[in-house]
Amino acid sequence: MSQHVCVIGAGPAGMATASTLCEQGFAVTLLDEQPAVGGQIYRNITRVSASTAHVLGADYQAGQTLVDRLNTQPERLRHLCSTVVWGVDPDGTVNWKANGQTCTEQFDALVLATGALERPTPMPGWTLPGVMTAGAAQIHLKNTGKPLCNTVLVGNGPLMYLVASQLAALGAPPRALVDTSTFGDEAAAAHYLRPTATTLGYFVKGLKLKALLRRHGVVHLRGATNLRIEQAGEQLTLHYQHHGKAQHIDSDYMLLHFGVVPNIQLSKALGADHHWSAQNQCFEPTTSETGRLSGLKHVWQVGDGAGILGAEAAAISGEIAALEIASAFKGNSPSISERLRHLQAAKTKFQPIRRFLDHAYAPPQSVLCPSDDTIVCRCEEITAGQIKTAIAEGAQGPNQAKAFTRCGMGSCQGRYCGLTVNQLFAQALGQSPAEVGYYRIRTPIKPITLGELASHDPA
Amino acid sequence: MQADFAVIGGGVVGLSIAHGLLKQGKTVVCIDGTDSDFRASRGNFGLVWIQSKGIGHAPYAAWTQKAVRRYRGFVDQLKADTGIEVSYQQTGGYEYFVDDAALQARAASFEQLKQDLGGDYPYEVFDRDRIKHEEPAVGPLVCGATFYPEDGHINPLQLLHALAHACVDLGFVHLTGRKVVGATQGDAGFSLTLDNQQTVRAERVVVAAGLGAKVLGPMFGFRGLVMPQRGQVLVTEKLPKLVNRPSLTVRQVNEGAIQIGDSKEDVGYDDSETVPTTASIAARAIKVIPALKSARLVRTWAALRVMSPDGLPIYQKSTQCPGAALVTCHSGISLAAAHSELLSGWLLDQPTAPDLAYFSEDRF
Repeated sequence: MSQHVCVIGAGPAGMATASTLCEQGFAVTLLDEQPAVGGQIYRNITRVSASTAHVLGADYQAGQTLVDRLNTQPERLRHLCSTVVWGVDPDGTVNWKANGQTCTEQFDALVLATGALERPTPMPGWTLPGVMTAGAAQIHLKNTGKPLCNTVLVGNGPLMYLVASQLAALGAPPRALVDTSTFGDEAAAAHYLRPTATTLGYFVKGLKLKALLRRHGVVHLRGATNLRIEQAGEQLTLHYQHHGKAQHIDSDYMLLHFGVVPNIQLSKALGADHHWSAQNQCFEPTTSETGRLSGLKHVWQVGDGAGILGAEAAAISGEIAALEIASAFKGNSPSISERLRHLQAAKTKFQPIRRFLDHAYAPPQSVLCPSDDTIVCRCEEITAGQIKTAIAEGAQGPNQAKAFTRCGMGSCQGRYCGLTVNQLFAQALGQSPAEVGYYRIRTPIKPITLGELASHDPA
Repeated sequence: MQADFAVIGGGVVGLSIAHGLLKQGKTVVCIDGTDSDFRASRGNFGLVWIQSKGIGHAPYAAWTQKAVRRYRGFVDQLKADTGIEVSYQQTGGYEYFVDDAALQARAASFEQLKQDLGGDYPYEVFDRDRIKHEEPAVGPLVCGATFYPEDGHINPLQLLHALAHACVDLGFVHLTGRKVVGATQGDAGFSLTLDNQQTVRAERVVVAAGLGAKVLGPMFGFRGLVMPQRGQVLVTEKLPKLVNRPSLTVRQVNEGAIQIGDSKEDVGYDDSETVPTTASIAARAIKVIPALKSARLVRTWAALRVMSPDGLPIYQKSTQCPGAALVTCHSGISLAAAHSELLSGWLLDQPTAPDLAYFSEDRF
């Protein structure tokens, strides 16, 4: 019987992993929360209309190649959609839930392809209705084909420019881009770029996006600071400082974005080692070159969940992990070694552009370490000031702060406050983020009912 | 760094003791570990509980009664001092039974304990009709329950929080993220070396470090006989009122979430939660309260109880290192009021001190 591998997440990394494993003769179970493959970046790609696909652009449509490749493997692939993974174990056991039923299965290997989350965007007013992330607005667009109207984008980075241009192309240009980055930031980061074809491609894409925004007359303000959102009736107002002057702008929706970070809930729950990435101001699971999680024998992490490098690199990393698994179970072969060498080289090409993006569009200090009156934990409505009080009361780290204040105890399990709480501790105690550490993540990763859990009772 | 007392351990037990000493006007340095240490204080279920403790050991039942009977005054004072609400409710509590023979056996052992305590053990046995009347949510398998009127529950995390806050206000020095790696005793008292080479001098030392007593105890002439026992706990979403009173295994906190836990596992120093055990806990809870079946589970955790060989607390003064004391128990929440208000007298050899000879390490 062939070995059975479970791949969690059906974005670019998960699809590439699953396809490659099937091609190498493995049985693959691909678990994904969405009704169809694609992940966040290629969300809804199998169902979207031609016109929406056109607006979403060539980078989006490129996902179809991965879908087509996956579709050639109907015998070996079991794709379970609308499926929520709520527990994983280092021995290869996966617990999931679909259609009100929970299942447990043990696999020969696990591949986590859980992708990225948008960085939390704490600022005064960020929990008001009508304030959401730019990524959430883009998901709305991919799911419905319709843009949100009367928006202001706030933050920095390529996704913000992309969403703005997509809204504009659909006839709903945002009222403004209030950008915290400056030309100076971009210029200072430029030395990370090397004049390669990959870099040039990104550069041209960036220029095109900005040109399209200009054509639609979208105001693009650089170097905004002191961000604060207020609400009067239905109307949201963004207050900010620009060139030393207090400014404000109204809109129905405020779309915030300060880049993306790896989703580490599963790797944390598995007890894998993690390290702090100073470049992207986030924790990353520590892996081998091929994505095997440090300290775990049977588990790999691929794609942006292992460190942000983008969709193309994610697909490559999936293929690398799949080939490594093939070597581990079926023995190495010269052709696999050769392919791995090529793939590693291809993946490396994405590093300079990522270094540029991380430095040019670094999150501002006010978002990393928000002011005292800003809510940090949305679920339990805990402010930065309350975290600082807990630190003054002797909380040693994020887990004691959780005990003192309930921050991170809500239904998101700390996904949206973990990094902020870490930064608040690092600043207050003068420690590095790595020394401060992170929340202990426990099963269930996603809520289940007691009855569903009880169905796993061995007795 | 110099103080009257060095308390090693900053959990509920260490902070309760520090709180009592500070209230007596002593200076205290608390040496506390890291955020990721085994911290029983963060894994506690939150019962302030008398029943079923001390069967066959009447002095333990009496000590627990003494502690719980001071609880209301203790937490009211904490609230007044810190403004932190610990949500103590002394509603009385149950242990549910699905097997009538087991219920009768428990009733017999409570009756014996009552005699040993001179009649001061006001338990009751509720038959099925009575428990169904008191708790309409119980399922058809429940045949009865034991009831003890002085039992209750608390938010244990807010108790930890309030104690930490109170100790800060009373001026204690809290050294966090630190480990004691060496100790010497001279004429001026103890000199403790920390893992960052810092030295703490104190006239007296209290080891209240939970499982850390195993390593720290022998530095001060104690045997430090403690071992871990894993317990796992489940928490549901906030629900409308489902149960009126807490039981040994299920309680509804004042915000509405239901907390469930009854597991005991000897698995060494492993505080991971596991699916088979949490699933069994869920299945047993649904047997008692069937409506829990559709409740959404939002969190589970596991923590290590600090167990002595017979499960009772250890209160021991060192003969080898006079001035050093060891305190360890797995009921730091129930005993908190006694640890704060009575142990300082014992530590300072005051004439009003409670007699804790029954809990000496010599019994092992």
